[in-house]
Amino acid sequence: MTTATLPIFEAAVLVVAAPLCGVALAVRRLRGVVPAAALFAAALTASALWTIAALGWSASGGRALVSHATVGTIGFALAALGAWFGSVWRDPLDAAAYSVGISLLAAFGIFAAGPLAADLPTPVLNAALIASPIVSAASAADVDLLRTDLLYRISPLAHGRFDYPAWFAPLLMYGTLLLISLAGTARALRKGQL
Amino acid sequence: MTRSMFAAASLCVVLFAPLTAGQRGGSAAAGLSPATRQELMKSLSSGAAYLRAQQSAEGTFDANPGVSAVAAAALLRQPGVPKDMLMDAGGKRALDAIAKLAKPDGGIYDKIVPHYITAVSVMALVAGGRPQDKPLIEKGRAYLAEHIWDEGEGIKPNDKWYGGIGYGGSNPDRRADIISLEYALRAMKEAELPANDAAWEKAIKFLQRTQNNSETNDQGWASNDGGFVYYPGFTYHSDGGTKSYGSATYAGVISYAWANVKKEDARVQAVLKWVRDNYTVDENPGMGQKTVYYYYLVFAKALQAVGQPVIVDSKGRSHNWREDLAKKLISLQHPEGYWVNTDKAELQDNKVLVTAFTMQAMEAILQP
Repeated sequence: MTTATLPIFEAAVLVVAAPLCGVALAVRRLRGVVPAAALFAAALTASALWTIAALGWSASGGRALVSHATVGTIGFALAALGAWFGSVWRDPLDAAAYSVGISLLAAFGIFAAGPLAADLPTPVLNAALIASPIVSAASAADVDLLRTDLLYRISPLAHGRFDYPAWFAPLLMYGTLLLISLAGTARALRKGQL
Repeated sequence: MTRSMFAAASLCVVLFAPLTAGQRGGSAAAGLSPATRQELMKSLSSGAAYLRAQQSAEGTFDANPGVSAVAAAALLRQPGVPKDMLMDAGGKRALDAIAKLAKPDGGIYDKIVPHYITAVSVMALVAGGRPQDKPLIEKGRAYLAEHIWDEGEGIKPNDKWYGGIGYGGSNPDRRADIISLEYALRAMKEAELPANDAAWEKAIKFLQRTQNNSETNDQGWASNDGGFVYYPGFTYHSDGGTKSYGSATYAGVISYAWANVKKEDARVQAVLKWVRDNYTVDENPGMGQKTVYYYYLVFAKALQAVGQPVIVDSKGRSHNWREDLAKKLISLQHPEGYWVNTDKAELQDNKVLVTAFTMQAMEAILQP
């Protein structure tokens, strides 16, 4: 792992950790949500500053900011999804299973689909790439993930037509998911489900 | 230049091409029969018309910098058509769009696969031949030469990646491959990188380590069929293992030629043995129809570069490769003028890219 690829690993961790944190917070009736959010934001800021310090502002400043903003939006959105599911399902294990399952599907489904994914129409494939936190974080960090050695060898995706997400696309998609999940959680709060 | 004048000029090329061929007499291009040559020129003209119709007002093709550069190079090298006509028929616009992508470090790309895009962009700018693009060409060739893996990146001469080049960019690994290297070397050659530049010798080291020739390959996996794999120890041959396959092998032949290795050299003789053992224009040997149009491109360029007008295969049959390939390519053209692969791997479902590859293969067929 290098500073340039740090956001990819952060996104990979968040795919599982963020929904679980959201469910845990829902179980605790959202007590501790502010410190948890602040801690996450502080960690991301530290990571961005470290990247900029290691690579230099001129080489990586804008890229580090965009990639960490992408990771932050994804992390908050997946945590909010976990909190929403935690407020809707009676059993926290069900909420955890569904929210982590959806998160894993978004992150790795496009890779797991193998040759089927390569046969998807390009716009559908591009949308699936935006939905993947791993691909979005890599793209924001300017890393050509699909053409890295292992993926190029085993996945048909890099051998066909695709476009990496524009920097704002994952922010829009996961920003929307964040708003929907917050609205769902607020509705559950009003109904007294929490 | 009006569209009708251009069409009239193209028609003249088609009609008078056989006469021109006949006048050349004993040149290697005479390996084509007059009838096939006339068909080939007609086919090229039709392919060029298709490509020109796909160009955007900004000069790009398919909104893709790589495809745009390959298409521009194919059009700007169209045989028999005066350069000023080619420039007026979209050439200038294409070159302007490419020049806009130039970066301060010499690379010419948008965002991804910088080495490959720079290589094809340099080739397009060379094909255009505009004086104002010369600085971009020189910086581009220097960019490619500098990005060949060597001690500067901490790669030692005994490392299997030494002398190779990959897609480039912020990839967290350091992969190189024969296809990326062939593109880079072709661009460096066309941009006239001096023959004594150290980059050529470094590239030869990678070529040796990608060739199934244990005499000169120090990697333990190497066998002795003489052909090439994708990169040291890895192949895309459908049987797996480390078997040589068509497009990699012809990319290897031509890369040796770009790197100034002579035809008499044992490494080239070894790979020419593979060519004799696996001669075909029906598929990309070891890959079937996968990337077959890139295979046709390097097949034509390689055999033209080594000056081998006739291939005698391992069964003793003689093949006039120019005639064989020309007929094959003509037969594969669609009525609208384009070519496209039935296997979509490596963007070969892209009509513009595949048409440009085919036109460049045809242009190599026509060269002596």
